[in-house]
Parts: sequence; structure tokens; C-alpha cells
Amino acid sequence: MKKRVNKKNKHYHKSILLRPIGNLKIRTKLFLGFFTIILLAVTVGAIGYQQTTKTEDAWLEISEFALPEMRALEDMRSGGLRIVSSINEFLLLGYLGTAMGEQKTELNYINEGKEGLMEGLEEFRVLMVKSGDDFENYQNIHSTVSSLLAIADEAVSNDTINAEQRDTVVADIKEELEEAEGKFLDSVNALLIYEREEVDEEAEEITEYIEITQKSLLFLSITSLFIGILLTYLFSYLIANPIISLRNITSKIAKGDFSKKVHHYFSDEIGELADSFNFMSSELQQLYSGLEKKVKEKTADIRTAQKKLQTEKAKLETFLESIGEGIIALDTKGRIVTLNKSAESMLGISLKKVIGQPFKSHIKLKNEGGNPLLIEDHPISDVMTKRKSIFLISTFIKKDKSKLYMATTIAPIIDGKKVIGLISTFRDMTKEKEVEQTKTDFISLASHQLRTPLTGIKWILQEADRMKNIKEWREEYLSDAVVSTERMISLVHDLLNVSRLDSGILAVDPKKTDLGEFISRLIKVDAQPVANAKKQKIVFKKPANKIITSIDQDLIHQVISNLVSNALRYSEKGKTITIGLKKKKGKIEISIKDQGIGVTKKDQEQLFEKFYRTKDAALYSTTGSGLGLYIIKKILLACKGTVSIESKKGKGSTFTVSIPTKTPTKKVNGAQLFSHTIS
Amino acid sequence: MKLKRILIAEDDPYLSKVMRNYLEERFIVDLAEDGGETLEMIHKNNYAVVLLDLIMPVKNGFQVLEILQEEKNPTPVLIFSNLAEKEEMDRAISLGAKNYYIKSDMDIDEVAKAITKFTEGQAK
Repeated sequence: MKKRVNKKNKHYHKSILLRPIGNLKIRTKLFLGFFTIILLAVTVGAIGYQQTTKTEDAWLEISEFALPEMRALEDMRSGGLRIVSSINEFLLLGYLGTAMGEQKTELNYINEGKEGLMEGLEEFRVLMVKSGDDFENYQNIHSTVSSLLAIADEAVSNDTINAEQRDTVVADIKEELEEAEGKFLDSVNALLIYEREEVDEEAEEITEYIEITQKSLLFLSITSLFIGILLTYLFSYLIANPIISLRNITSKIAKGDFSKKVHHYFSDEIGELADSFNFMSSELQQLYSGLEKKVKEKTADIRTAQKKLQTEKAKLETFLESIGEGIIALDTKGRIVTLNKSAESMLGISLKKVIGQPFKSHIKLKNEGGNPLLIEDHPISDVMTKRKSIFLISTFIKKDKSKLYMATTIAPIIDGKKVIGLISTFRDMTKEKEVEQTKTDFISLASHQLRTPLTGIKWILQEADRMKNIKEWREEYLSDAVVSTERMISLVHDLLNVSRLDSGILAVDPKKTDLGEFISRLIKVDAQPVANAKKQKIVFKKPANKIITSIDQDLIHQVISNLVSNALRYSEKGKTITIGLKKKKGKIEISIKDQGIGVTKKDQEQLFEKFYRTKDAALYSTTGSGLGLYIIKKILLACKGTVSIESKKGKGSTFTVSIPTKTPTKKVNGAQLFSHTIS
Repeated sequence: MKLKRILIAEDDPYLSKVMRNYLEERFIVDLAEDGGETLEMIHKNNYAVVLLDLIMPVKNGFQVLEILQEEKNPTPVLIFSNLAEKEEMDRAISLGAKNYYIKSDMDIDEVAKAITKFTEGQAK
């Protein structure tokens, strides 16, 4: 955080320094930059030009004045020296006096030297005037030249002097000449030296100038280069940097980070652009945050709605799952969309495996008449076309061919105006159907069972009426009618017993009983008369030791008499029924063995079920309700006893009843059974 | 006029007793108490008609019919039963029974009339 502030400050600092330039328009900035660079170049050029001109001037001065001066001085000196040497020759010749002719030649030389000297002097004077120099040097030179000329004239004019004088004169002239010559040379040399020094000085100055010019030009060039670079950098910085930062921030904004602003320090076009950009960014941010807020709100709304929906869905699911009815939803093409748990367990299919598959590939439908029922067919198609719910009883045939009877309601699923599928609710009626079947069987059985004694009673009574005048006949028929009626009553008792056994718990009231005695009496009183009528034999061997135990006498009587009754009923005339009584560990076994029609292994499984009569038994004897063995089973269940069968078809059967030595008492109000009559 | 001989195959002693008493006035009546006895009697005697109950010991009525059909025995059989299901009626007729009567629907004199009518029809 601190670092960021510092950075900001630094930027700020920089911005203050650069603000005057920074604020300029880019066009102006570019103009200024280029203008400055051009200005620098022009300056460098101008300075170079100026310096060159100065140097040139210096050279001109030197060549115009100093050099001719020196030349004139040189001429003068050589003229002077010639005069001196010519005079010396002349004097020497004259002194010797040898050759006058030669003296004349020497005179010419002197004149010539005089002319040269004069010319040089004149030239020097002109230069002095031209250069505006003071005349001091000239005066000096002029006077020495003049003295030199005067000596020369004196020497030449003394030609006529005698020898004695001559020596003195020559010596004087020589002395004077030497002095003039010395003076002359001194002044000319001094001037020459002076001039040379002057020229040297000038030359040195020029060289210095040139050097300075070179150095300053180099310096200026380098400075210009640096300034140019600096300016270029500065302007590129001023122009490009904000653009770069703009670009960086644009990419940040593109990613949704609105926290950064474009920092601009100048109010140039980029500054304006940055301002517009920042404005746009803040607008965008506002819009975005507004949008975000809206999205958040909407999301929250959606979440709430979703939660609600989920709760509703869960409720609905729980509701659907907890319903005992199977529910299945199909689309318009008869494919399974969903089904509930009940449907899964009823149909033995799992939603995961069948979802999206055609219903008919898993379950075949048949109507009550047993004809195939297809979704495409009437009446189910009515659900689609007429949009009406229908109810029907149908048979569902599963893949394993097992059948389920279903009370089915089929209703269309309507979305707006379109039927998008159908919902079928079905209740398994198989049990009900079975119960109904049992009922139907029972009714047909009972009606048959009742019809026989009723027919008997009707015919007997009709006959009794016809024979009413014959007393014996009438009495016999009436007694027959009573027996038939009793048979019917016994049947009705069985039926009532079953309904009592089914609806309530049986009361068990055990009493100490001598079982041998109990069975003997049962045979004697109830079974023997019936056996006698069919010429059948009942054999019972009483055990040596008395077997005394607590039993509910009524119930056990019911059991034994029912079994004996069956044994007599399903055996032919003259056959023997053997009854056994044994005491075993903790229990007593009573067996009833016959030589009757027997029961197949398959029939044995269902033998003790309600209303079950084997086909053989049903066609063997009219009497027999299909209830006796069921009643026996129920009674023994209440007495903690059991019953079992051992039999082969056509080879007789042995029923074994096993009862505990101690029958527990069970006192319950109500369920009292009607006694069984052997018939 | 010579009385026709008929056989009553009925295991219920009370019914057979009434039927015999009533029909004896018009026919010579034999009684059989079970299917086995019935077949024996048919083999032994020549009956104008057999009144056959379906539910009987030893051999039931259907078994008797089957055997007679196998033997190509021409003895006409009328079923007198209290089985009232169509299935059983059809089965009996298909096994050669000439007619099927539900006992409880009939009075005893109607039984006699039916037999008389049948035998007279047979005679012609």
C-alpha cells in the first residue's frame, strides 16, 4: 500500500515538472520537438560559419598587409646591403686608385642600389599609409636610409681628393658607412622581426580560432545530439506512456477489474482520451456493478426459487415414493420418463435401467378380455387425442411372463395446449384378483356343495309328498331329509368356522384327557356308523399305558373327526382305516392311515390351503368343502401342534397329528368353533 | 309293454333312492354307487339309457365316459350332475354324453319326464 502511494507521488512529482510541456497538444509537442532540433542544427551551422569567416578575415589581413611589408623590408635590406657593398668596393678601388674605369662601374652599382633602396622605402611607406600604422618605424627607416644615401653621395663626390686626404676621408666615410649600415640594418631587422612576430602571432591566433571552432562545433553537435535524444525520449514518453498505461488498464477492465484508473498528468489529447476512458470505465463499472448487483439479486432469487422448487420436488418425490400405487410417466412415444419406487418393485424393473426405453419392451399390456393393449391403440390413444383420463383393469405381463392385475388410471400430461405424455397410476390387484378368484371358486364350490344336499332335500320332500299316503315311505323320506339337511348344516358350519378362524384368534381351553379313551369314543360315536354304511373298517389299538394329557377336547375332536371323515370319504367300500396313538418326546402323535385315493406330491403342497380340493377328490366325492384340512391346520397352529401327510397317489394317505404334551391355554373371547360331523 | 332297463349311477344314497323309487314305475332300474360299478353294469347289461353323475368314487363320470368312448360303447348316457360350469358341460358332451342336466334345477318328475322322452326318442 505504502509503496503504491510512493509511486503515485513520484508520478505526481514528475507530472508537475513536465506539466508545462505535457499539457501541450501532441501536434504542438511534435512541432516543438522538431523545431528545437532544427534550431540546434541551424545554430551549429551559424556558429561554424561565423568562425570560418573570422579565420578567413585574419588570413586576409595577414596576406594583405604583413606579408608585403615584410617583402618591402627585405627589398630595402638587400638594396641597402648592395649600396654598402658597392660603396665599399668603390672606396677600395678609389683608395687603391688602380682602375678608374672600374670605379665608374661601381658608381652604377651604387645608383642601382640607391634606386632599389628608394623603391623599397617607397613601397614600405605606401603599406604603412594603407595599414594606418604610425610613422615611427617609417621615420626611423627613412632617416637611416637617408643617412645611408647621404654617405653614398658624399663618398662619390669625394673623388677628386688627394691621396693623403683620401686616406682620412676614406677612413671617415668608412666609419660613417659602418655606423649608417649598422643603424639601417638594425632598424630594418628590428622591423622584420617585429613583422614576423606579428604574422606569427596572427597565424597562432588563427590556428587557435580554428581549434576553438572545431571544438565548439563538436561540442555543439554532441550537445544537440543529446538534446535531440532527450527531446525524442521526452516526447515519446509524453505521448506513448499514457497510451501504454491506457492499453494496460483496458486489458484489466476487460477482465472486469475496474479498480485501476488511467493516471494522466497532462491535458493533451491523450489526457482527454484518458478522461473519456476513465469516464467510460466508471460508467462501465457502474453499469457492471449494477449488473452484478442485479445478477446477484437474480441469482439469489433463482436460488430461493430453486430451493423452493427443490423442497417442492423433494416433497413431491417423497409423496410419490410413499404412495403404494405405482406411478409411471411416459412420453408421447410411450417411452418411460420416470417411475416411482412402488412401480419399480411391482414391475420388477429399475428406473435407471429402463429410463428412456419404450414401456412396451418391458411390460406387455392386456385388457380384461386378455387381448393385447397397446399404447397406440384405443382406449389409451383416447387419452392423447381426447385428453381424457381413463380407468381400466389391465393385465401387466412382465418379462418373466408373470402376470399382474392392475387397476390402472391413465391421464394425459398437458403442457399448455400440447399433450406431452401420460401418467399411469396403477394398483396391484393381483392379490385382490386372487382373493376374488378364491371367492369365485368358493362360491362355485359352495353352490355345488350346497346344491347336492338341497337337491336331495327337494327330491326327498317331493317324493315324501307324493307318497304321503304311505306311512313308511313318508317317514323314511322325512328322516332322509333330516340327514341331508344336517349334511348341509355341517357344511355351513365349516364355512362359518373358517370365517371365524380367519377373523379372530382361537381360544384354547385345555383339559386333562385320557387320549385313548377320547379317540375310542370319537370312533364309536361319530365314525363307526358312517364306516358301517360303506362297509369300511376302523382299526384303533389303544396303547397299553394310558396317555393322559391336557388338550382342548373340542378342538382336537374337530381335528381327528375331520381326518377320519376324509379317510372314510376318499376310500372305497370295504377298505380299512387305521388309527394310531403314540407318545413321543414331549409330544403325542395321532396318525390316521387310509387305503384311499391318495394325494400327489404336487397336491400335498397346497392341501392345507383354504378351499383347496384336489381334482381327484373333487370328482371323487361331492361332499367335502375344501375347508377341513385348512381348519385342522389353523386349530393345530393355535394349540402349538402340527399336521403332516405321507401319501402316494392311489396308495392311500397317512395324516399325522402332533400335539404338545402341554397345550398352553389361550383365553380369548369369541372364536368358538362349530363341531364337525362325520358324514 | 316291455319296460326299458335303465342305470342310475349316483353315489349319494339319498338321491339314488328317490330317483329309483320314482323311475321304477316306468323302467327297470339298476343302481351303481361308483364309476367302477357303473362300467361293470354297462358291460353286463344292455341299458336304454345311463343316468350318470360326474362326481363319484373309484371312477368319476368323465372317466366312465372316456372308457365308454374308447370301447365305442353305444349305450346312451345322460349326465345328471350338480356341476354347473360350462367347461364341464362341454367336456361331458364332447365325451359323448347325449345331454346334460343340472340336478338342482330339476324337480324329480322332470327327471322322469326327461328320461321317458329320451328313451321314446331313442326307440323311434
